[in-house]
Amino acid sequence: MTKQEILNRLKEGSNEVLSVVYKQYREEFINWSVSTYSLDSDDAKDIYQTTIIIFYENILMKKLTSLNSSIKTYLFAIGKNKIREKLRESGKVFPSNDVLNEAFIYEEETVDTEKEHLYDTFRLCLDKLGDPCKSVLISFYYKNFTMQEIAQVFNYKNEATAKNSKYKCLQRLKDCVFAKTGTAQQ
Amino acid sequence: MNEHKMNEQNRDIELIDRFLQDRLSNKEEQDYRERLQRDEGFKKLHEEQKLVKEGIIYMKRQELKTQLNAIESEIEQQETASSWTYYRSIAAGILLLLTGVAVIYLYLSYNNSSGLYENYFNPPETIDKVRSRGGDNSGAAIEAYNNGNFEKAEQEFKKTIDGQFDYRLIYYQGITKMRLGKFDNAELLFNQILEGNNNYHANTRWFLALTYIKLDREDEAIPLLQKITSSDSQYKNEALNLLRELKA
Repeated sequence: MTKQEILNRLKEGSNEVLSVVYKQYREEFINWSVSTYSLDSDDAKDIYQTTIIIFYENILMKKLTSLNSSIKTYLFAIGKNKIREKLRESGKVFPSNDVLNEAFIYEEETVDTEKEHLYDTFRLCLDKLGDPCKSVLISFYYKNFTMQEIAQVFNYKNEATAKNSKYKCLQRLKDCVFAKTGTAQQ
Repeated sequence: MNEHKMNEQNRDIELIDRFLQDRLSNKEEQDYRERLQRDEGFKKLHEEQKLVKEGIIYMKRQELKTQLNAIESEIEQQETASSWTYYRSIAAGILLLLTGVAVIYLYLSYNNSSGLYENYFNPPETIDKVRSRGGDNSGAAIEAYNNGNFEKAEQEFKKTIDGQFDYRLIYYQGITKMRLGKFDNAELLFNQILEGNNNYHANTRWFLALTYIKLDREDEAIPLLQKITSSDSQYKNEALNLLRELKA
């Protein structure tokens, strides 16, 4: 499978290809993190998982549609930034001669317990909505689909119908979340 | 909420979503930020939309992490099993035996996959002659197939299919390719069928899954087999058994 085929399959949401990519670079990434940056192997595994998630999300969100470098180079560049963050958090020094590519810097939001609870409520409510609402909202808010793409993928008559349906789904989601959390709505 | 107010709110939601997707022009973004400062209702709607987006992203990331953890556990189990075998062999002090075990293991793994294919590949012995959409040009291909002359069948199918789009013939062409050991070709043909609107999806999934097994791409065969087991396919039982053997 070529790297473009891999990107295309991941964009379609292929779990099988994600698993293949994960396994393909895992050992080398962990060995490199441990030997070059003296990470322990558990931290190296955590960073590798985050790296894979960023890679996958960049494809889903269309930030990554083609690659000039290899997939391995791309993954290791993301990984290097995550390692730097990790070393900084633990008060260790990241080698100053190690060049970082700023394009791969990724800020991950810290989630407190209260927000985590709220997000869990979102999950419950989305499950309760079921499809197509759940998939429409995920496609729009997670995969950055345009309304035109949503109309095509979910067989809506046109973009206006898709938009109308998305609003209704959104309203149902908010009603559910705010009813469960007691948060006031506009 | 009356219709006018609802339309207004929907327009605001659309604007906020575009802001959150970083799709506003500089001017639009500047206006947006100014409005956030002065319009409390808009600010509240902005916070709600931000929360929805963050909630959905968080949920999807959690799902992904769960999925990656499952892959990680699978790898660790394999590693543990490998380590155990290794240390036991060292304790026995028979390096030669270890090498032998490894060689035998590799040999068996190879033959297991190959053996699975041989056990389950049971293509139709003959094909019924049915007039195809493009006329009766398929006769020579079918006759060659039914006589066991698959090289000739391959050529005749190619000639026949060229110029028409008959999924039934493409399906048998794929099986012919499998019989000739041309699995890469078979994969392409079967995927062509699965991308089209036709009645051959169920059977095609079965032969495509076997093709993947022969190509040592079990990861891709498994979802196809799982799909067959939840359908009314004639290969449902075979798919169930094959899945069990793959996971054993």
